[in-house]
Amino acid sequence: MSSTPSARVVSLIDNRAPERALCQAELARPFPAAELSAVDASWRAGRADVNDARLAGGLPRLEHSHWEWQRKAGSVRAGRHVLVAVRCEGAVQGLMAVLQDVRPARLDKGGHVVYVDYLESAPWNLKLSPDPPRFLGVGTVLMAEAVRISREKRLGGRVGLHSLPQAETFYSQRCQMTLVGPDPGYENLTYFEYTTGQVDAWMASIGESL
Amino acid sequence: MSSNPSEELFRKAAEAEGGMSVSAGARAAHAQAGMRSGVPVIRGFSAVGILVCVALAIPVAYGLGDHRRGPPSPGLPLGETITTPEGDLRVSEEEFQQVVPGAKQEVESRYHTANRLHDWSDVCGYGGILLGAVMGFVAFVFSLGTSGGAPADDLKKIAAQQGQSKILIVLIGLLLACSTLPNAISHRLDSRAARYENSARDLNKVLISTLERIYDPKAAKVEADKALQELREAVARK
Repeated sequence: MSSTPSARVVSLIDNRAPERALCQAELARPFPAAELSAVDASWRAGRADVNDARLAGGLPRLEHSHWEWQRKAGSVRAGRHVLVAVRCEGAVQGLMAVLQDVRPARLDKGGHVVYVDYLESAPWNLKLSPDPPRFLGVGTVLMAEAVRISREKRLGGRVGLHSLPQAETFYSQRCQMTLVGPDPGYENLTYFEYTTGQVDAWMASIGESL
Repeated sequence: MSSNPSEELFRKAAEAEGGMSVSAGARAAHAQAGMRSGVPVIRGFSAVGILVCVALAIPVAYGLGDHRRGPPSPGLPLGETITTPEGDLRVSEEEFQQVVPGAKQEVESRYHTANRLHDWSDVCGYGGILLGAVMGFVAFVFSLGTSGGAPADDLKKIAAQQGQSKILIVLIGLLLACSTLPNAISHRLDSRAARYENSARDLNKVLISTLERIYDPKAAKVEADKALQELREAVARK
């Protein structure tokens, strides 16, 4: 994985704009660890608002509401993780931490996957925030980038991750990943993985050329 | 609105995402934070704890196992001078064997058993100390090796740290067991050896006393027979 900072233009849906127009966003890889504390600070209040709204609606709290990205800084500096961020309107709209080391694939025996250790969209992009979500497609953009990283590593686009229960629908239905099953070694979180064939189909379905 | 097919496909996908949660990663970040700060501390304490255990285990081992042998066997009175009311006399082995056949072998056998028990006690006692020291060294090195690691930032690493902590606890347990258990065995062996020594010594005393009575010309034959009977019973008692 290249450690040279790069910024690529990607699209998001601006949910506040008339006709939900596409807007340009910047995909930063690697995202500097030094900015993580600022991200935590800007997201903290938003997460609290989403939690309040969820509780008011009789829904459980966000499962990731206690995450602190700043705690990843040491690991990023040590070279164990690489951060990818989506920036738009001067704010970070989503963050992803990918392990630098590849992991054995569970579906394609003998193959390896890029492992997405953490992925989160900014709280104001969630549908249960007090206001309607600002930007749509943050998770899709980040997952597409994970696939790209996998291809750069010549892993055929294979990606693996453990999803929090509230996000399982996104990975199984929207991303069309294969649900491998609960992982007793990882808090029983459901493990999802892309095989090479699946990922090609999904990337094509979101308009990403091979 | 763009008419680019790729953008349209992306739009569909993004709209389908529709603000749903996309979070992937560990659920227990709070617990992680606790473990991050706690594990190195636990491991630091383990290193100190192991040193303390080693420091304590050796004196405990010495205390539990009495590795010193009892005083040397007084031996049989053969060829020695026995003082009787009629004066001193020397007892030959032939005479002794005639008085109580097998008595000499019995006393020797008891001393021999006591010495063998002492030997095994030494093996267990010093082996325990050696084993404890080796286990302590292994645990200490293991502890140093793990406590130098960076704080864990994912569950796998935390699980590994927890595993290391468990291994350390097991190693400390083994260290204590290796130090104390063989020495407890050694202690029991020493106790048994002491019993054999005592019984051999008692038998020896009876033998001497019997010989004194037998060789006392003033003693009545009845008394001599009685003394012999006592001696035979003492030999028969183990």
